[in-house]
Amino acid sequence: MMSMRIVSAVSIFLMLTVAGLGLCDTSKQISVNADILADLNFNSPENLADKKYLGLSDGKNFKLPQVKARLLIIQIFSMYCPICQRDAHAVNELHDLIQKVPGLRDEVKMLGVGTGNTPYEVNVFREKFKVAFPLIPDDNFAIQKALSDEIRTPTFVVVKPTAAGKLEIVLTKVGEIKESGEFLKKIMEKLN
Amino acid sequence: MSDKTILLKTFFLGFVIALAPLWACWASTPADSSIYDPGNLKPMDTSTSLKVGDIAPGFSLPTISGGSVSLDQFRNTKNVVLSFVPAAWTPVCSQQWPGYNIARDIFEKLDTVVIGISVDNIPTLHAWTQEMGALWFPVASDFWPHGLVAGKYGVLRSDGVSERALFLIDKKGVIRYIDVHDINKMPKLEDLIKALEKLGNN
Repeated sequence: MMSMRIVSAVSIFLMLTVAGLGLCDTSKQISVNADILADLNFNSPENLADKKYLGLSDGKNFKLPQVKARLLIIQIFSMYCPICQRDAHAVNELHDLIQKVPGLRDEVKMLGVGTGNTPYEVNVFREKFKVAFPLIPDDNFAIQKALSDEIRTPTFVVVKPTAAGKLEIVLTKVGEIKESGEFLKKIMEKLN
Repeated sequence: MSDKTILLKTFFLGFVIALAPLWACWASTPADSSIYDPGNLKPMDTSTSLKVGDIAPGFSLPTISGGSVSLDQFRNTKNVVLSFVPAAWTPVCSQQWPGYNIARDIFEKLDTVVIGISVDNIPTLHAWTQEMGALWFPVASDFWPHGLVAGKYGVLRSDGVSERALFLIDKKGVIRYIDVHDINKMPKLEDLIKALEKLGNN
């Protein structure tokens, strides 16, 4: 009799714990329209090294499917956003980690889109946090057109450019990445 | 210990552990979830009589660091940017000062200090600016008499908050640039910096 009660108690314990974990939604999700995102025109980075990194030819504008990468991590940020400022170190660390893994640096690229930011403002962010991957301005909030909800910065969208000039959305994350290693692990799973 | 006690204790422990990750979720939600969105507001609700070339009205206001800040203390030493923001915990305002925060080097190179002013009281401004990280410039409360300084500068709206306004005042106390901005939008940083660069180091 006693052992049955203990088994019941342990069952309740486990059920409640699992229920609690189920309620946990640590990252608010956002839905992204891949076709709209693929069709947006962005200003090409002015820096030649940034163009080369993204595999872009000369030209003032580009579309995301033109980026030469198996996966592209898009960081939607704002120079004015204190959370983006706080997360800049982790995002830089993510870029460093990718650069350090042989083979990975050619397959996974990063691009920051400064939503509502002018080129000047994007540059202030780049210089302040010594960002080594390309950052481009999006003064007119163009990227908002592809998102289901109002942009909350930072938001990360990981896409797979396809040969047909389309994008496949593989991962989205609203809020800080905090742990660059953990985030990279999730991205690596999508590579396989 | 009776079976009943074991059952109750286990149930309680399970309940606490079950809720722990839920609490962690709330704690990890992006900080801007605490922002109150008042929706799209009338872009401007005042018309200041001040103009470029006027002597800037003097003031002294309490700051969140415990002291006070006055315009006079920067006379002959620094240019001053007065940044009036409408209200704490609202969109745009919650990002404007963090933007000026990372542009510190640019302001300092141009011999300029920013003074942030809001009609909120000190405890509210204290809590709000904590979310922004450590600000390098003084944040002043124009709470009481309510909006006195905003009124002097002609930017106190009819609902008791201020406009989103920038006044650039040179070292002689003369207003050199005014931008009473659409309250719903962020003033471009480079517009302010260009105005500052025009001052040179006079």
